Amino acid sequence: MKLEGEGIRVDLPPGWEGEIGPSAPPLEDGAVRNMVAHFASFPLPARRGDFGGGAVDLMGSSDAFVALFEYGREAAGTALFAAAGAPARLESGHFDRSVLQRPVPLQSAVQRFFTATGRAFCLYVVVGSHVDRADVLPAINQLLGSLVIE
Amino acid sequence: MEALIIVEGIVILLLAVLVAGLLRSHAEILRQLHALGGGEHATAAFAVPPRRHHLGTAPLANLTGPTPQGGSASFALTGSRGYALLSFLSTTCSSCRVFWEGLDPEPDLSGARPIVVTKDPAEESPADLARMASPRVAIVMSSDAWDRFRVPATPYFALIDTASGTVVGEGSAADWTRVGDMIRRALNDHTHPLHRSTGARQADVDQELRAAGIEPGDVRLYRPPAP
Repeated sequence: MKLEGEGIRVDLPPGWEGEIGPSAPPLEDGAVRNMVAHFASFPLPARRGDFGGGAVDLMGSSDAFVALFEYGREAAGTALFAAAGAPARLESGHFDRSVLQRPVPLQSAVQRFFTATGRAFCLYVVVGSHVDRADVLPAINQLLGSLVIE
Repeated sequence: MEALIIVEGIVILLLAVLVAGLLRSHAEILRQLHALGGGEHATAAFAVPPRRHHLGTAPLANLTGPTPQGGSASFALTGSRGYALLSFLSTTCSSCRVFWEGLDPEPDLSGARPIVVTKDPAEESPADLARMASPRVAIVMSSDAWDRFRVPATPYFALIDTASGTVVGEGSAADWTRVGDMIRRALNDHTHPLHRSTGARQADVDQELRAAGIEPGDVRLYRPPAP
């Protein structure tokens, strides 16, 4: 199932769902909230944080949550975002419990910063069970392999 | 002169038949709209009980479309888990008002996830939607979903078992309380032993045996029953 918006295009694996949020104009304080996209192997709650707060608590042991957060264009190519292009594949060894934005028992995560087509992104991937992460990795990699950023 | 009178009589007769047909057709349309709970005179009771003849596989694997905020979303209707209540609503339908107003706090839907489905931005006002929507409930704009689910009128609801991708109930109602009743009835029917497949019932038995510590090949399965 294809999902696209804001110059992002992915093929969702069977049973997955997702939402690509719109870019918003700068806030009054000058803060920029760019595009954020969420993809998950479980039903996403309507209210959730940019990095999955409110959603990751609902994950089962075989679930995965993927967030793609876009920073301001001025960040593109800077040291933090020096990596070129989105990771097309993750390995079991990339997941680490200490990477979680908020510690949740059993879970672990991966965080990658990169620049693609002049846009700066953070990719944040959470698995419901660190022990069983190999079971859901094929679906995560299927999603990442289909990701196109324009 | 006589021929002219005969022709005129025939024309008048044909016109009378035509008018009678139009009036009957109009009355039938009004009757069906009323039965679906549309218009200003919707009753507080179920207008249309869950239908049986469309139940079966959901016509979409994913419900996909733009959101009123300008993004895009896709909701899994099969291969996921739990139940989704697709709520086909419109901002211009007077019978829908009570449903828009009842979205916050989220109505009691027996754990089913409400997803409001409106028509495409070309046929629905995203600005009105953004004003009437609740951040607690997902909204997607998809005229294709209206066509695939053959939505006959608004408001209309379809309850989907998103694990198996089956429609387990659909119909119209006058308020969220009645929709909650519809969901409870549909779930009771869906989980009734008579509606479960042989494979599903075998899985139930296997699960109960495992819970009792009896795995496949256990010798206790082959003992003759106690006298």
